[in-house]
Formats: sequence, structure tokens, C-alpha cells
Amino acid sequence: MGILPNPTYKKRRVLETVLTTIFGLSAFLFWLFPYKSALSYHEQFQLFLTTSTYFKEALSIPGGLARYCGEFLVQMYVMPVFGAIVLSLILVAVQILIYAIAKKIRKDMPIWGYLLSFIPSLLIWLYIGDENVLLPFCIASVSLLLAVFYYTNIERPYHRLATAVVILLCGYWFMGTIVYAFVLYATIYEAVRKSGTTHLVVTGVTLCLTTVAAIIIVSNIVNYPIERLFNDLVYYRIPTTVPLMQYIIMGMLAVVPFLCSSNKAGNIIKSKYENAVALSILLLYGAMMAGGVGLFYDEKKYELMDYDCMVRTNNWQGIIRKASERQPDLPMSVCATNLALGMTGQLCESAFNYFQNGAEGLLPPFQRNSNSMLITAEAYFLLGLTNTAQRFYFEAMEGIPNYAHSGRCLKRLAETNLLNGQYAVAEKYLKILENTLFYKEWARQTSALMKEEGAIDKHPLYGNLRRSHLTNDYLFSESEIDKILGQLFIKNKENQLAMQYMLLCSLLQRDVNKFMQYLSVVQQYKQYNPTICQQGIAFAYMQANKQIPQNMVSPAIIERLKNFATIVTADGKQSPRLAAHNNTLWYYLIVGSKSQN
Amino acid sequence: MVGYRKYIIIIIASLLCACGKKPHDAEIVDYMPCIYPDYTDVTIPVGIAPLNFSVREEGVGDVYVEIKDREGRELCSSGEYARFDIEDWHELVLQNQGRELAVTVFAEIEGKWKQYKAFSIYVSSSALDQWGITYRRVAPGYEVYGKMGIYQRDLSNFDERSIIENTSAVGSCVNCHTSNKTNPEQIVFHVRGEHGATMVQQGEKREWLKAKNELIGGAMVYPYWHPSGEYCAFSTNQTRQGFHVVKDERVEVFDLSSDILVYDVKNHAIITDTLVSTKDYSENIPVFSPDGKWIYYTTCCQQDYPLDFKEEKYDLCRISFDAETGKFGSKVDTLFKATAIGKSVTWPRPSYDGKYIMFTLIDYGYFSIWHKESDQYLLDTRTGEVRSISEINSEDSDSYHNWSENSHWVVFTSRRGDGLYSHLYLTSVGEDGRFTKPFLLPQENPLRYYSESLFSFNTPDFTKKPVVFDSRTAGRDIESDRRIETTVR
Repeated sequence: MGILPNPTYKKRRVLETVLTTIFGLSAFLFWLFPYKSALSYHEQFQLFLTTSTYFKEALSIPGGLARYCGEFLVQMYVMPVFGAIVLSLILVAVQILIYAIAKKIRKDMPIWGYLLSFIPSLLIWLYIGDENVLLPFCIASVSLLLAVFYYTNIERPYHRLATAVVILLCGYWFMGTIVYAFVLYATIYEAVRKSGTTHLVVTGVTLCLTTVAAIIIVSNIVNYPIERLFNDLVYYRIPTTVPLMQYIIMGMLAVVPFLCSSNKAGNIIKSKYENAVALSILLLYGAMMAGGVGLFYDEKKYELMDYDCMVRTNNWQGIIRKASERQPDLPMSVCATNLALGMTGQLCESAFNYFQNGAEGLLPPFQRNSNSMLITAEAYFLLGLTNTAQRFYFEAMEGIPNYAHSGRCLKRLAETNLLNGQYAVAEKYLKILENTLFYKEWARQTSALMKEEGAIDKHPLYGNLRRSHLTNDYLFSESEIDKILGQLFIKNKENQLAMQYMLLCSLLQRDVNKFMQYLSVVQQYKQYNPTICQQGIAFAYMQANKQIPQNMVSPAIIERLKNFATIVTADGKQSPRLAAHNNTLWYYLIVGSKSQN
Repeated sequence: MVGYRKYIIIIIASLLCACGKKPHDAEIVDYMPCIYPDYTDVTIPVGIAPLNFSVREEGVGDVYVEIKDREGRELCSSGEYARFDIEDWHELVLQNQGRELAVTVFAEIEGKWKQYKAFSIYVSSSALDQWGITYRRVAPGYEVYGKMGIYQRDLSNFDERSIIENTSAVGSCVNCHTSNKTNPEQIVFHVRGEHGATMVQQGEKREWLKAKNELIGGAMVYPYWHPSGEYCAFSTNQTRQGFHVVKDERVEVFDLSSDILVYDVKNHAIITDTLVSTKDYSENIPVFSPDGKWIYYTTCCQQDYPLDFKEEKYDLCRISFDAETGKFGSKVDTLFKATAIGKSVTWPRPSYDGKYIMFTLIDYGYFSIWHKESDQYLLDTRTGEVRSISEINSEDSDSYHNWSENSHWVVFTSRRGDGLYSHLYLTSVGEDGRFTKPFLLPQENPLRYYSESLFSFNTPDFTKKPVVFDSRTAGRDIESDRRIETTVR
């Protein structure tokens, strides 16, 4: 018996079941482990509500049902295991349906025919690596295959045609432009079935005209440019973009059932070559996925998603671990790492163990981009700059390209309004969140907090943040962030994060004098002299040609600075010997930041 | 078969008794119910959509509401909230023009019915004479905008239709839609963003002007039509935004500079004058008087921004304008010196009968929507007297008002609902210049509508008939970037 025998019917069924299961399990593990954070990413850019208004609004555009179902499922991504189940089941469903359709066309299919049925699923798997591809595309694909399966079962040609017209009209409204694939499939199917040239032409022309007519009619109902109605409204997050891959997959969904069941290919590939062909297909798939994942799953983007997900869940140790394994080198990953260090009280101890890109690495400047705003918003929120956090969360939500709302943002907006004492607005947001499945419980608990006098002030997080609120009004300025951080610390001496940010900010700005002023302010209130502060003191004294105070700086640090100075004097800033100092403040100040690698 | 017939009878009986049964054993209490929206003792025009409302009492279940007039005609509603039949409502309101309606509310609370003290709804003798209103619906955000658009609403029912949404031209922001004395045959609005433009539509003729003219230093903003329709006044502003750090404030808008100008629609020419384009002062938000002979506008002494943004304070001024020659006058009058009382004027809107100028007064700046202290004021043009319209003002921002064509009604925005989301309120003004208690724009289910909505309504205006605007071709026009250049004279 070969690796892939020409099995009896029963054995063949077992083999197919095993292969499909392995495929599904691989997809499940793929999403549950290495790409888990992508689930959180998708979930945070939508807000599925259980209200009738939301349902009606969703169904008011072409593809609305696909969008509604997709968003219903994506809301469950807050639990990664559900997300992994959903995605793996969809990929498996696509494969099973393709195979089932192919079997309707030709019953005695060779094993390679079965293997070819994986092509659309594998392509979808790769395609959804693009973070802007939305689940409704997958839902629409499954719906298409169900419709195709039904269509294939109809025997009478004109009954089929009538059904196809109904499927197209309903399909376009409920599932969107995936119906193009149906038109293609139905036309090929009529050709393959040899229903006669007249019927083939009638079918092709009728279905094409029906699709075009449906879109033109819809363009008079909805407020979208007709070009967008011909492309799609719900499959891709960026409204004006439709990737070529989307059309390739649509084509594959229509064509692959015929490839699987091709008689001609079956005759060419005699049964004695079947195993070899099957094995080749499997190897090809392996290679395609290995290369494709690298191509479609942008490493940098997914790294940022990991950081963002960990910031969202306050997994500070996870961030530090990740940053230690591989230097963060993007503004947002640097920001997340610094935030994690700050939240664990290590920022002024070990910030220079990681790549630093200046003061912007603490609080990156505002960008009109939802992805980048969220991590910064979280930093502002935890610092106690509630208004600025509120602005970033609001902008992040408004900046979602497909005009969706965000559960994550709305939750934080409820909190910022709660902190600011804007209870009516907080209540409004909480009421909306009560119409969700996964934020409902939190919303109810938080609503209860509002009703209890003093409960917010006593709350471990909210109370502390409220105590940090600034009371002197002025306009926020990114260029004066160090002063704002100083005011936060002065307002609430317990605000450790603001204190660390303030001290490090001046150093990252390469302003040692300012650092010394801020440090003296801090030391008026508490004994705080971690490694980076000692390095700063030592550097400031050395720069001023003064004796480094031994009561403030440890001998080891003094020794290290002297060593650094000696190397710079002797060999210059490019000396490879300076690598031993790349985790020090003075390396950052004199040479530049620690290498990204 | 017998069982089947039984169900038919039940269904028919239910339909006949759609009003529900009036509770008989209700406990009578001597206070009015807490309802949303607060429609107690409001004054409404004939033709307004039904004032549906919810009872907001703890543990309330079903409600039963009856509205009675002096003749004993009544209208009732029962269910989760008070929802009146549109036709019956209009009939009852029409029959009672100039009189009051008594509204009695019954509420079932934990299985027991309560009958509240009745309240009144007054039907104004002043007609509204407007088909509906137009407004912009947008999230109350900062710099980034999601879905937004300009909409029109039939005031006799709950139908809302978009005039243009930014789904028609992705990434665009549409704002400052303005019709000529509520006539939608002449409208103007701006498109901001990558495909910026100023759209001027007169009848079926639509023109897209280049958003910016460097000779005037920027884009045309805050339009207002000359009654002849031949001119449109604008300001041109170098606007900046700032964001407060303290909890009770959010956004601040200030202008590094601003001037006012008049656009000659026929000749695509911008008319400027040194008197209204001064270096040290910012001239802003121009409006024509109803006879077209004056331009009212606000002016403030330039400050060092953003440092002294709280010193940006505007007075209300006027300058004459000759429509024949298309020239500004040679003298500026100050109508209201708000700076003398440490305040700032914004959004002047003269009534079309020429009796009043309604404006908004805030502590500083001109972007009143973000000023909690923002209140509506009235200048009597006959006496020059200015007063706070305390009968319509609230503790939150009240702003963006416009008059009905007959000058009996005013629509304005207020954040009194929750302090952030602006909603639309209507009020009428009597012969004595007193306003009636404003009422929130009716919705089919107001509680659900307003609590689920994440949009603010702003820059509302009345419209005497539906706005006819082909948003699909407009979307294409916007994206085409074909624009008409304006000249300056």
C-alpha cells in the first residue's frame, strides 16, 4: 500500500475525513497560537449590537447580511478559542462544500480531485492574512457554495435558470458581490452539462444582465457610488480598495469544483500515477502555505497586533518578554514596551535595554490612523491624562475606515466620561454596551458604580486616575509633554507612571539639564534613584566637569561611565568596544539608540 | 375550524382595540410623570409629527396615554411607550390650533397602575409653514470623522432622507449647508478633505468652486445668502483646533486670522473690502439682513494663539452692502459690544421679518458648540435691546439656531440631553418676543433613537420644501476634482 492508496470507498472516506480534520485542526492551532492577536485586532474594530436598529441598518446595504453574520461571529473573538474555531470551521466548510459540489458533477473522483478541493480554502487562509479582509467575505463564500450546491442539484434547465436569477437578486442584496462567482459557476456548469448552446447563452446573458440590473437598481436606493456597488461594500475594511486576490478567490470558488471533477484530467492522469500526483499536490500546498504566510501575513503588522493585544489586556510581562526576545523597532512597539516597563516600575531601570526612538517612543504623536492611536491612547489613559486619552479613543473609533464603531474604544470612552464626571454620556455608552454579548456584564457593573456615591473615587484604578486629573486649564501640546507629565506628578505623587515618563522623557529628548531639574523635584518627595537616573546624574556631572557624587551614583556605574568615556576618547563614537555600553543612557546620548537587532 | 375562527376574532378585536384598555383601578398621584423627551407644557405647531414619548419611572412596564381637547375629542396610545397614530394626531392638533391639549399618562409599575397629573401641550396659533428641516449629522469628534452627512427631515412625520453622505465620496467631510431663506432651490455647502470644494446650487444648475483661493488666504466658510440670491456672504478663516486638558472642556477652535467677503454667484467673483479684511482683527460669520442692505458679522481683536485663546472675544457689528454695485459701505457700526461684559458673540441670525437678531453668547471664542456656557440671546433691532433668552437656554451648550421663513419658529441645537450630543429643539416666538418652552425634535421612538444614536445634529435650518439633490452625481463631481476658479475684486 502506498502512502496515498487507491482506497476502497470506506477507506477513502476515512482518509478524506482525516485530511480534512488535520486541515481544520491546523487552521485552529494557527489562529489560536501564533496569530491569536489578529482576532483581538478584528474584534476591536467593530461593535456588534443585539438591537433591531443595528440589524435594520446592517441589512440596508448590499452584503448586509454577510456583514451582520460576520460581525456577529467576530464579536466572539474576544475569546480567542472561539475565533480560532470560527475561522477553522469556515475554511473547512469551504473545502467540504467545494468537494460536495464537485461530487455532484462527477461521482467517481480520484483522490487528487479531493485534494484540489482545498485550493479555495488555502487561498482564503492566505488572503485573510491581510488585516483588512473582513469575515463577511468568508461568510459570503460559504453562502455562495451553499447556493451553488443547491443549484447543482436542480435537474430541469429552466428551473435552474429561474432559481439562479432569484439567487442572484437575493444573493447580491444579502451577501454582496460574491454573486459574480455564482454567475461564473452557473455558466460553466451549463457548458459542462451540455444543456445546449441556446440554453448556455441564455443562462450566461440572463445572469450577467440580472447582476448588472440589480446593481443599477440598488444604486438608486443606497448612497454609494456605483463603482463601489460593483466592487464591494462589506468584504474589505478600506472602502475604496478591492484586492485582486478577492477576485481570484471568487474565480476559484467557481472553477475549482470543475477542476476537481475534470474527466479529461482524470483520463490523462492514470490511476498508477494518482498517488504521485496526490503527493505532489500536498507538497505544493505545503510550499504554497510556507511561502504564502510570509507573503500575506506581514510580520511587522502582526508584531504590532501582538503588542496592541497585550496592551489591551494589560499583559505587561508578556510585552517585556516579547521585547526582550526581539527588539521593538516600530514607534508603536517601542511605545508599548515603554508603557509595560512603566507599568511594572522598570522604565527608569531598564528602558535602554531596548531600542529607543526619542521622546516619541513614550507617547507617539497623533496620527489619523486607528491602529496607531490605540496604544498611545492607552498610555495617556493610564497616565491620567483622561481628556487626551478620550480624544485618541474617539478619533481611533471615528478613524475606522469602514465607519464601524469599536467596542474597545466605546468601553474606554465610557470610562473617560466616568472619570470626568460626565455621567450622562458615560451612561449613554454603557447602555449601548449593554446591547452587546461580551461587554454587557462589564457595562452593568460599571453602571452600578455610577449609582454608588464615592464608589469611583474608591475604585483602585479610577480613583487613582481621578486623583491625577489636572485642574489648571490649558491646551494640550505634544511638544510640551514633559511639562504636562511633571504637572501630573505634582498633582498626584502616587502617579508612578507619570514620574517615570517625566524623567525618561527629558533624557530621551537629550536634555540632561532638564532631567536634573525634574529629578530634584521627584527627590523632594521620595527616594527614587534607579539605574538610569544614576546614569543621568553621573553623565550630567561628568559633562559639567564635576566630581560625580558617590552618595547618589553607585561605584559600578561611575566605573562604567569612565570606561565608556575612555573608549570614546581613544577610539571615537564608532568603536565596536562601545557595544558593551549599548544599554546605557550615555550610549543613547553620545552614540545613538541601541541597535534594533 | 372553530379554534381557527377564534383566533381570527381575537386578532380583529385586538386591532379594533389598538389603543388598549384604559386602566380603571389606577392610583391617582398629584405629580406629573417623568417623561422622555420632556414634552410637558411645550408649544407645538400644527403639522408637527406626533410627540411620542416614554415614561421614565423606576420599574415602569406598559403605559396608557390619552390626549383630550376641550371638546372631548381624544387620542390614546398604549404599549411600551406613547406612540400616536400620525393621521389621528394631525387631525387632533389641527382641530386645536391656538388651544391646549391635556395629556394624561397612566403607567403600570410593578403590576399596579398609576395615573399621573395631566400636563398640557399647547398648539400654537402661529403656523410653521415649512416642509421640514435640514441638518448635519456627525459624531461630536475632534479632527477625524467617520460616517457623516447632510440630511433632511419631514417635520410632519419621522422620515429622514440624506441629501449627501460621505459614503458618496469617501473621506470627504460635508458641512455648512445653507439655503436661501429656507428655499432649497438655492443651496451652498462645503466639502472638506482631499476633494475639497464649495458647492453652489441654484435650481438645477450646480457649480463646484475651488475650495481655496490663495488671494483671500484660504477657503470660504460660513455661508449666508443675500435675499436676491445673487450673492452669498462667507468668511475665510485660518482655523486651528486645540484640546483642553481639564475635565469639563474638550475642544477649542480659534482663528489665526479671518476676514469676510461676498461671493458674486453669477460672475464667480469674490468681493472684499479693507474694512472687513483687517490685519489686526478677525471678521467672522457674516449674514445679510433680510432686506439685503446690511451685513451683520462678528469681529475680534487678534490674540497670540494658542496662548491667549481665552482672550478671543467677538463683538457684533454691521456694514452696509449695495447689491446694485456689489460694494461694501464705508462705515462699520458696533451693534453689541460683548467684550464690554467680557463675553463673545457668535452665530448671529436675523429673523426674516427684520425684528430680531438672535445670536449666541459665550465666554470666549466663537465655536459655541464646545462651550457649555453657550446661551442664546436676542437683539431687538427696533430698540437695540439685548436679552438672554432664558426661557429656552439650558445649562449645556445651546447654539446653531435658524429662523423659519415666517420668523415665528426657531430651530436650534442643544446639548442639554447628556452634555455632549447635540440634538435639535424647536421653539416659537410670540409678538412680545418671548419664546415658548422648546421641544426636542420628535422621533418615532425617541428614547431608543436618541439613546442609540452616536451622532450630533448641527447647523439645522428649516426648508420650505424637500431638497432635490442628486447625491450620486454629486459624489462623482466631488471625486472628479473639476472646479471653477474664483476671481477677487
